[in-house]
Amino acid sequence: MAIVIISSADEQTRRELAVNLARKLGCDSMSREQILDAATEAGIAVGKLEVAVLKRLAPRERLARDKARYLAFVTESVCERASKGDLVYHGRNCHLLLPGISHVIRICVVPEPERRINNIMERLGLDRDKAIGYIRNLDEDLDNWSHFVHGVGLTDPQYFDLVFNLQNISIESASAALCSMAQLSDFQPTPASIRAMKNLLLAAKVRNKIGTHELTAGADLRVSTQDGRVTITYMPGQSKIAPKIPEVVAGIDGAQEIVCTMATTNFLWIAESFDPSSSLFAEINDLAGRWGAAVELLRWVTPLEGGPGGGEAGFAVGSSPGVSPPPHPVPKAMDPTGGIEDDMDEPEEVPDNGLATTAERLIGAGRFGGSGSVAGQTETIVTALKSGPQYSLVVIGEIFLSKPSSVKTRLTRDAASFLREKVNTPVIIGDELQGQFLPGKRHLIRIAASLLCTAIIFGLVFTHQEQVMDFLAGPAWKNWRIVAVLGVAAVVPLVAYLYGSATGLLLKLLKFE
Amino acid sequence: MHGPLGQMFIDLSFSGALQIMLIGFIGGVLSGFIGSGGAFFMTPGMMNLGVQGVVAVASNITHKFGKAMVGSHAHGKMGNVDKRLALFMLLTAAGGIRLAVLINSLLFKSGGDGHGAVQGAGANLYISLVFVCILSIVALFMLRDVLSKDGETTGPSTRIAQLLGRIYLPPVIHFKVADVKVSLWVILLMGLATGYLAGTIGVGGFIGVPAMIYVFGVPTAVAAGTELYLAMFMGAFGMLNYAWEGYVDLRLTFLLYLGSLLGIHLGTYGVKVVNEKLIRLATAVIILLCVLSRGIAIPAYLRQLNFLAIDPKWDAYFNGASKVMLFASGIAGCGLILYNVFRAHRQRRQLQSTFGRPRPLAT
Repeated sequence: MAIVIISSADEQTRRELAVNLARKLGCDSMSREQILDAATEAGIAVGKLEVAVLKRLAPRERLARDKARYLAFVTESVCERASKGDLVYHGRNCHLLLPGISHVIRICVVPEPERRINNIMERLGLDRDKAIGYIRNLDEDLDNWSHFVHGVGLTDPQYFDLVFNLQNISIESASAALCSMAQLSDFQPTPASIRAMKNLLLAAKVRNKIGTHELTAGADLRVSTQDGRVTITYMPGQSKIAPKIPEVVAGIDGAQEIVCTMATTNFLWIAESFDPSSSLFAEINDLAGRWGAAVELLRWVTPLEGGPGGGEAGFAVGSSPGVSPPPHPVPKAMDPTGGIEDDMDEPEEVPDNGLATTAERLIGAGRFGGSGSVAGQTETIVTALKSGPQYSLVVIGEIFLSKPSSVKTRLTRDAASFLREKVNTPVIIGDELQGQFLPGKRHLIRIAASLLCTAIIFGLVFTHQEQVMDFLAGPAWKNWRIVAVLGVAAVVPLVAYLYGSATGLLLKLLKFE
Repeated sequence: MHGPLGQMFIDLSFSGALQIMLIGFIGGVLSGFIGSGGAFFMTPGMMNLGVQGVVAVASNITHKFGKAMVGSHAHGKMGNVDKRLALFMLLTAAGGIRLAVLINSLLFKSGGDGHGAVQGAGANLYISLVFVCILSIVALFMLRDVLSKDGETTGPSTRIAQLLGRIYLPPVIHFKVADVKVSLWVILLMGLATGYLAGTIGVGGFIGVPAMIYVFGVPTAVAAGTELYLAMFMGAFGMLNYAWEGYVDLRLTFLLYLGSLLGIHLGTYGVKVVNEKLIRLATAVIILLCVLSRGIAIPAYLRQLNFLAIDPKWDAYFNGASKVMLFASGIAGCGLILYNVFRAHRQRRQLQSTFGRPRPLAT
């Protein structure tokens, strides 16, 4: 069951290659344009989305909903067709679809520039200069579209398996090479990749249903699925819709149970092993309660060899956008069969390491935001984080369990700093959570000390108003102008810091955060 | 205050101090809730209490420095600050602030010249006019945005953004955190406008944040964080400039802090729990009322400059009406926000685990 996805800015080129390849593989080809027509017929405002990108409209709730629905529609259409057999799909940036499915071959096709210009001149009746200008604008719009829909650039090489430059290779030869590539063991379905695709399909179906049903169409809900469990996160303002969600989702093929979690934001807890009786669980649960956050669990199977950034990688399952594994760097080296499975129906036994029990506890607390697993290097996590929603906090729990304690500590710190550098999200190691985010005795002492210092400064200024103002602007002020300016520059940030910290901590104690 | 100091700075009674704190608190709540600004309430609020316009702006921009420092630190932790973009904007924002300080100082000094004009009336009029013009445009755009057909799909006019997006003006710089490419010239122009407005009325954020979102294409959270980071430097630069001229009233700055640093946390919390449409509607209405309040005070300044022949007794009425209107709108707006904040906070706690249990589905 080969799935080949061909991305190219030039429609004619990608269509020719897709049709040629589909003929060789004996399967159907499917285009973005076909899905677009179907999406428009289904009532998705694709045109509005494109206008939003062209006009660079600011992100809005409605726009985000339309985008999510569009993406779900495309994902569902492609997954449905792919589950029936081989498929060649082509589009402008479709290589970013189906993230984490290891048996998808993602191809970038660079069209011949001259041919592309001639195509545009012929199709639109433009002269050469205008056609070149048109192509430049089009490429820029496509890049914006890619950022808008998938959050990554159009030409980022890490998301492709292979790039064909048609200046150097013919369509016929490229097609023949792809035909051979589709037979490689690396691109054969594995139980894990099939499971991941099922998760994606189920999530897309749920998202679609929610987007079309009159009861939930206007709601901003976040959907993640794993093995039949559908987790839907909603904002507090939408609590009236929440009871209707199970009714809407009922009947979707593959949905076995539903968890609805109210949250204003979400955390990601990454660990190799989870323990619901641990102090870290209690701390995360407490902080999630304070922040009104849902907690997503990501079990990270760390590299077998080497530290962060080294070693090999393996399977990936889970459909939550945040924990969805990266579209590509998921080599198949951990697969002992080399990707060839004798019995595809036999589910792969993956050690759970407390993931399920922790998820259950979080569900009980009303704070479950979904779960998933990913294996690979630290870069794998970075890609997953970048392709998912924005998290308020990423907590790194127990990882590198097979290493000695000191090595484990060092590698965990290295992994945390690596993630901090690469993603725009606060990343914290579990041990630091209490000290940084949860109020304790230390905070009370800090509040008292800050308030005392503030009171002293205020007391001095307000009991010596005349002198202070004379120093800052009085008749003799010109003589010590520089000192006066420096005095203001020193005392103002000090007061802001002292009093600002005290009020912030005080409100934190009152759970206003 | 005695002598020359008495002409420039007000005497602070206990009730006056409480009113400044209240202004700070309301400004802080609005600032945390809206994401930028707060000065649109605090500057006219202080002017209504008799503070000279230039002193109100100077004390407010000094207050802004510390507030932005605390806020940008928090945003920085969340990865919402593009320091490079902020520093590029600062190149010309500093020039804008300097220009604003020079104009304000010149106008302040040119008043009270023995020709009947009251000290500071020129600066007060100038600040009020800029305030009314700029904030009217901002509020009307926001209101149009909220009241548009579905309130979501259409945004403010993007013609400028489209035009600038298409015009290739090298050098074009890539900003990694915001993930945008922008022409240096556009950045410098926006920096100048932001700095000028920050220095004149203390609300550079009303230009800086929309410019970053609509013209540069920066994500909203990064725009807010980057603006705060920029505001920290602009506040510092403005503070140094105004302190150099001797217009900073440290007492007012401190009293503003007492209210604002508490209010800003509550306002920020409100954003998480209050409906977005309500946020935008409340913001637009509050700004419009503040504009109206400042507009009411303008005839008094015109009279003081002998542009309008009316009885000086009317000054008190204009100022009083302006003050009542400003406080009424501020208190009502702040009350509305706080009411929703506390209600949502309570509901959130109650609802937290209502739907926690998994529900089996018939498939």
